[in-house]
Amino acid sequence: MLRECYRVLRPDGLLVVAAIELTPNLKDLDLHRALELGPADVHAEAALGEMLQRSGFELVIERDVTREFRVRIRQRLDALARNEQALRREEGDDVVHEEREKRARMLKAVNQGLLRRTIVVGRAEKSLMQTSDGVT
Amino acid sequence: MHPPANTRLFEEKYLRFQSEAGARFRAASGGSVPNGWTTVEQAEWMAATVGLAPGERLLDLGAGRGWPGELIAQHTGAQLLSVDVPIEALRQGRARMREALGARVWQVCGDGRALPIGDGHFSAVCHTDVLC
Repeated sequence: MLRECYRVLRPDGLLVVAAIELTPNLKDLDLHRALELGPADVHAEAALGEMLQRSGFELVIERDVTREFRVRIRQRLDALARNEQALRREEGDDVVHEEREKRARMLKAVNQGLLRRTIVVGRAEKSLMQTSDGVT
Repeated sequence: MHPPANTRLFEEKYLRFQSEAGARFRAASGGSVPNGWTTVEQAEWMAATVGLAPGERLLDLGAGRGWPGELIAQHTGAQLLSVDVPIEALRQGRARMREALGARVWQVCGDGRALPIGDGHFSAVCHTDVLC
């Protein structure tokens, strides 16, 4: 997908990506726990910045927004608790349970330093010869 | 073009919390933010960072209900193409995005791995909470 982003950008166009990712350089047991606790599709191949670079981008900015992410997860869990009775009635027990478990695991992973959220900005380095305008 | 194998899971995600209690929960979870983990401050920072001029083209890939591409397009005056796989997400964001951006927004149901768009068409792309 990052290579598609590169393709459709004009030369020097910017790509902004925000993602939850594994904390870099996790070893064995920590890596295993991070993959268990994190979102189902969290990737383990490389840090986000490195993935951008591999796709042809110059990494311009890397911003760690884990602190804000932690606050948002807690907000979500608090909102779930406050509305739990009504949610169980209207959405079903399974939905509420799944949401709570998923967010609680994610918060645990963040608090243990296993997961982070990052915003990266990459510049599409390409010559003018590499582009053509138009929609197919 | 074949949709991703987990399209059904993506669609189901957007069918959840559409009840009255669900709406209260979503509002309490993120305030004015329609969806996702990107805060208003972060979206405003993105808008300032991409430095788009009015009329330039922005792609929001994996846009869901339209966040944060909608805010970036509002702040910059850019034209916005909002792309995602689940039609339900696009449907839920349509009225709000039309009100915010008028004729400057298009929505396309599509797979980000094979976009029906020519090379070099956009000045900026935002892609939030899709890789994960």
